[in-house]
Amino acid sequence: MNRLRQSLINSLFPALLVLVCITVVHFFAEPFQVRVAYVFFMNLTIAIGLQIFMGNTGIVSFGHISFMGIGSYAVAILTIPLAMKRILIPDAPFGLAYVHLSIFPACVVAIAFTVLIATLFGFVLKRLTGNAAEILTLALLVITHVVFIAWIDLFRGPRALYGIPIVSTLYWAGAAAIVAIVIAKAFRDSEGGLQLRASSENLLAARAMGVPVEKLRFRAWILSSGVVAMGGILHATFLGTVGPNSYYFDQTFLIMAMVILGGMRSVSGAIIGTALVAAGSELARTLENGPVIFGEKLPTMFGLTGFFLGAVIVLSMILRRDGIMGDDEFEDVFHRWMRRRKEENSGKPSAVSTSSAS
Amino acid sequence: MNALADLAERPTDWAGPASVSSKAEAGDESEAIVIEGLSKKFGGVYAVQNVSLHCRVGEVVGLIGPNGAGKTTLMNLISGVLTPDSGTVHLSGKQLSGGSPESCARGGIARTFQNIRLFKRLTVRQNIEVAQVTSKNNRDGRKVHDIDEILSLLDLHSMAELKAGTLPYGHQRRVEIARALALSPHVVLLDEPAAGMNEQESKVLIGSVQAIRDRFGCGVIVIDHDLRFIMEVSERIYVMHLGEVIVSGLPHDVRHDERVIEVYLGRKASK
Ligand SMILES: Nc1ncnc2c1ncn2[C@@H]1O[C@H](COP(=O)(O)OP(=O)(O)OP(=O)(O)O)[C@@H](O)[C@H]1O
Ligand SMILES: [Mg+2]
Repeated sequence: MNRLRQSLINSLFPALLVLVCITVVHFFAEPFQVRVAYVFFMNLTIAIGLQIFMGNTGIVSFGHISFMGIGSYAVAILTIPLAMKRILIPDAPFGLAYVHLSIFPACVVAIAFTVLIATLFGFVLKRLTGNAAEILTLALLVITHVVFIAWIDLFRGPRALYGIPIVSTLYWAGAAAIVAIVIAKAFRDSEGGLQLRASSENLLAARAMGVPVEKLRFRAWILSSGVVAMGGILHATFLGTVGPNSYYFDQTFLIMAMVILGGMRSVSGAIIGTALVAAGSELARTLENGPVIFGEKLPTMFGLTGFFLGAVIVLSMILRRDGIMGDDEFEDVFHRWMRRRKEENSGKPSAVSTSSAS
Repeated sequence: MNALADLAERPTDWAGPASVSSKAEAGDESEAIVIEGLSKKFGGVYAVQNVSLHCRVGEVVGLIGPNGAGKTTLMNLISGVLTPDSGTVHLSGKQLSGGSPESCARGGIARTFQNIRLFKRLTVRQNIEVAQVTSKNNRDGRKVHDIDEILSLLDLHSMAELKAGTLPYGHQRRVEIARALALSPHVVLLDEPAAGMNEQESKVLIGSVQAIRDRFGCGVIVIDHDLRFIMEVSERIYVMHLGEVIVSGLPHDVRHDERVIEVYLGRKASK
């Protein structure tokens, strides 16, 4: 209980950051900037979802964007008006062409369904370690993509599903990000989270200390799938349309770059990484279109955004493998700073007293 | 090796082979651990062959033997890291089923590693907590040890909040012992705890090991190459050679056993 309270307190600062960000955007931003902020919170939710798994287990996952896709498609299929569905996917299986839910129940079902799929996959994954597990997550990404494309009756294949009610706002996205942060911090600080992080440091030692590694990995996998599904719902209910290519390698690399740059073992790292990469890709996107700077028309540079993400990953790997935050959370940095200040303050009088004694 | 030469030079008032003090009963609860007929082959060669040993509650047992004798392998067999080809392990009177390291840890076998295996990025306190959580979740009536008590017993209080990987090796070995204790074990296996320690540190360690035995009510099995350390810390000693226990008994008897001297100093000494 003490642990939970402590991690709730520690979540206050990042949650406050989100709130400040929303307030600033609310009062000062142009509509297109609101859009950028929305996408930022959506990606933050997903990055933190990924951090819950990668950061605690130490296993790199290329598969989490599938959970975004599953959450997205699920909420789309449940909320598109029936008249529209009869045109888009008239032959949907399980009578889904005739099912319609209002947005909140649809979100609950979408998250539950994503978690169910994650559970099935988790039974295989929890037995594997290291490279085998990582390759399996890559397979998950490819499999879901193929299913989205090939199951035309249900997902309309490569063509997009549209007509999803656009009900989400910046505030919902911010709220989702805060929920994600609180869940991630609480899990990281929990007894199971601690044991899981230990197992990612030294598997054999953790097992010899009785850590139920498989069970805890499974728990992290499930929890992270639910959080990433939230991000998927944010995506579908903001754009009003879903298509298979939104949930594939591009999005995977974007989120991966965010988590790696910030430091995957830290929730605070995921936040910082998301902010930096979001700002960087926004800049790259502007440059890509060949903007006019000081009256000089720059050439258009296609692919600059992709290049930027690649560069972020490569440079992090070379220069700072543990990411910006390493293992530290905001509060760790704060406590260290406080300790150093205290030492400096107490250092002076003691130095005086020793010199006077001698 | 100076210690060895020193030992060999002492007058041998050897009086027959040292014998096991008393035959251990597997079902006896005053026995922390009873191992019977444990064997393990690697590629057709026995690394551990038909080893039987026991350790009572509140007893420190030493295990020595030259490099490659099979000491660490024996420890891996007991702690579930390796599966034995044959043999049984009884813990506090109950036969240990299942072979995974997790189940052994929950059952009450704690160990340290010859090549230190700490959770380097976690603090010293967190390292210990990882094991304590297991003990808390156990609910089989064993007392959950207080982390601060463990820290002070091993003199780790001042570094509790430091990352374990940043400590010097001597301290890291003590953290390994602390972490093992937090499992509330029936028996603690220490694989070369004094390796890399200076004389002063290993002297302190002797006191800690004995304090562990007294305060935490468990059996302790210690492996080490430093004979002076082993002779002083243990109440009984087993000597392994080529996978087998060749001698066991009181430190005094083992020290003067011809076979032990021969194994340690080679054929020359026995001629
Ligand atoms: N996993 C393994 N696979 C194959 N052979 C092994 C394995 N582990 C140990 N051995 C072999 O078993 C024998 C016993 O090794 P072990 O490590 O148990 O010796 P030890 O008594 O602990 O030696 P040291 O004092 O050097 O630590 C050695 O010959 C070693 O090479
Ligand atoms: Mg060894």
